[in-house]
Amino acid sequence: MIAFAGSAWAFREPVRAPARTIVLDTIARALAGAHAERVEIAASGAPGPARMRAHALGRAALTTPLDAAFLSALAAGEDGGLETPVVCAALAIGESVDAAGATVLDAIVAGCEVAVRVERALGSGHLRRGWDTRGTCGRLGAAIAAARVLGLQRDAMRDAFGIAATAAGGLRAARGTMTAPFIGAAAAADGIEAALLARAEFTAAPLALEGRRGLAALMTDSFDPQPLVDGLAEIFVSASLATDVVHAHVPEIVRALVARIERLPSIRELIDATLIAPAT
Amino acid sequence: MTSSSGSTVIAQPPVTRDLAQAIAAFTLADLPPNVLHEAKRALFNVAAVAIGASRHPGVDAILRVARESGGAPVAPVIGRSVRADAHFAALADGFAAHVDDYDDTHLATVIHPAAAVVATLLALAPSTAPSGAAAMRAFVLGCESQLRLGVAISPEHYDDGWHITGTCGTIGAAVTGAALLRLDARATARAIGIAASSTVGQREAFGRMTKAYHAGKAAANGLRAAVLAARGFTAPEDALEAPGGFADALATAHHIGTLDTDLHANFELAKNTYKPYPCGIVAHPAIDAAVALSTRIGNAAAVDAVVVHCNPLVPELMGNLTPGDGLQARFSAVHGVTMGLRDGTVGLAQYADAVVTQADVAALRARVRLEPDANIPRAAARVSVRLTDGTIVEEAVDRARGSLERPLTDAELNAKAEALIEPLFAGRTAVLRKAVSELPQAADLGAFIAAVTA
Repeated sequence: MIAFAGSAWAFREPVRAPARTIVLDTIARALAGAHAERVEIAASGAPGPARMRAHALGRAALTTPLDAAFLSALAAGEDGGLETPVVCAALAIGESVDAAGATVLDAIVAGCEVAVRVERALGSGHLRRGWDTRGTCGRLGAAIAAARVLGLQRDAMRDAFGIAATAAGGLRAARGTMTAPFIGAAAAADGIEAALLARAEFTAAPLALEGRRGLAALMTDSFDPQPLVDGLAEIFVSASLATDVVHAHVPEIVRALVARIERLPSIRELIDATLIAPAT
Repeated sequence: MTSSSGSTVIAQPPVTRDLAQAIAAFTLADLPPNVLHEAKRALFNVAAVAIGASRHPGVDAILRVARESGGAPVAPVIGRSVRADAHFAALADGFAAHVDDYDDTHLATVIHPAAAVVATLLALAPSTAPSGAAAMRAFVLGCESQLRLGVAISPEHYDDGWHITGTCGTIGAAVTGAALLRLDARATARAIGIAASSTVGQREAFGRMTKAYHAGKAAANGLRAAVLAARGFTAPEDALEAPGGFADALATAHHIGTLDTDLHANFELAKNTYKPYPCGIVAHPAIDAAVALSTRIGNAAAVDAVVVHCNPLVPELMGNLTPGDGLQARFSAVHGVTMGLRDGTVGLAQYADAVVTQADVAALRARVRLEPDANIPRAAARVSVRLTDGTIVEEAVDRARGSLERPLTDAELNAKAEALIEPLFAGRTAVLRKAVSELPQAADLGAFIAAVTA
């Protein structure tokens, strides 16, 4: 599965189509929540002298890529799913390295695909144990997406996956508080952190998901590895994440840019467009 | 006891609230002198260990990412001259404090409490400017809270496969942050609530850089939980005991309702211990025996076969027979015994990658066999060596050096710190010892920070 995610293949239509919807869904949610109380509370840091910087969706202040991903996902997280950390991580790291739109979109395809396949593999026992899948499967997807934007190859991508896996967490018992959307926000930031650490040659367990003391052994009692690999690269199960949320308050320019995201020379054009969007 | 998957939900006492209230009300004057002394030993030890590990490639990796992508570099980094933002400073310091597996250990839970806590303390120091007493109070509370929590979910939590230093450490770090930020009881409960959804640490990471990342990440996550709670971020206020909360999700069985929230007595921190050898603690009795045998066997080339009679946890936790590098060797009891027999001393040098992979070390290691015996207690071991001339020499250890029954003396601890610090910063051990000793009377953390940074 990681070999699949780490390959340099560009995805084609119709695989990219649901991913575009997922991006637009997430941007719509993030713009709706960009100035919610929880986001204003959490917004803090100005960036330092570091070269990599990014914006949270719909927020004018430049910040660190980790913080940008965190705030975007916190804004989008009220009713977002697994895709929230994946998309927010990919956009923030994409902006900070000035990635092309196609790179970011394909990273989101790979990240969502991994997240959903892991969710299916963990099964119902995972939820029964009390875990919020945005903080577990979503965190893994965010790491894969960020690693792909950075162009990590197989071993480094496996390390990114392993770093994110061992940080998996987040309790469904937090629902009804700001800590529920926080879980996806922390997952988005951690996905980027894991990818950057792996690029810097930080190493992790090779069997972080399926090992004897790995994520699956600890966080579910219904693990079945088959969904991880069944029809991999042929059937894209993450298409199911594309919901048609109401996009009415998304500015036309943002919608137009998402519609041709794979042709954007720089993802920054899309991020910039969200910044001038009127807050709702 | 409750089962995480059971259908009956047993109402638990409000331990999160009670603990948060006790934390908010705690003053350093409540602390018995022996516990304060132990807190100072823990702080001195962890600072020395982190300085010793401050050149590790994992620290370099974290600082590289901080440089590439971090926020304003305001927080000190142990053993280094650079600063980093609070998040990455916490990651780097917690990592360095734990990566050599040389930090303090609470034996009943196998929590290494000080690593995440000292990292949070230093990362938040610039923004909270605590007095020495406030810093010591925050250090004590962070250690004590995570240890008591650990007791309430042991042994199942660790046995299930969680790295308890990461999971309970996240809560401890949040408590340290809450103390530094002077949060009231309710906000402290919320900090714990956010931290309960930020836990980290699976034992699959043992032998990898991610094991020590758990301590750093616990610090960074706990710190963020406290900062968010201070600003009014909402979270469950009963996260430890709630149905589907921390205890239910992280242990197949637990007794969270028995969490002792009276912070006037029965301090777990008093039971903290310090490792004489930089490797997993269950192998220490056998290494003691090997060190004692080394003078009796003379040349290690004369060793024909070695049998280590030990508690079954030794092969379970430290069963790597063919370690490929220093990190893996820390989970190899046979490597520790080999080094004890060959060198008569087991320190960081015996875990250098180049030593671990040396051909004659591997050859000697291959002659060491672990013989688990359920009748042998964890603090004991017996090592039997057959020499090439047929002679058999044997050494039995009842209580390992550094165990609760035979703690490292202050002088031994000082010698350990010197071996870690002096090669990097000559003369610094005494400076650190003085800064820690005088911390409760100090106006601020300045002297301590100066002692631990380059």
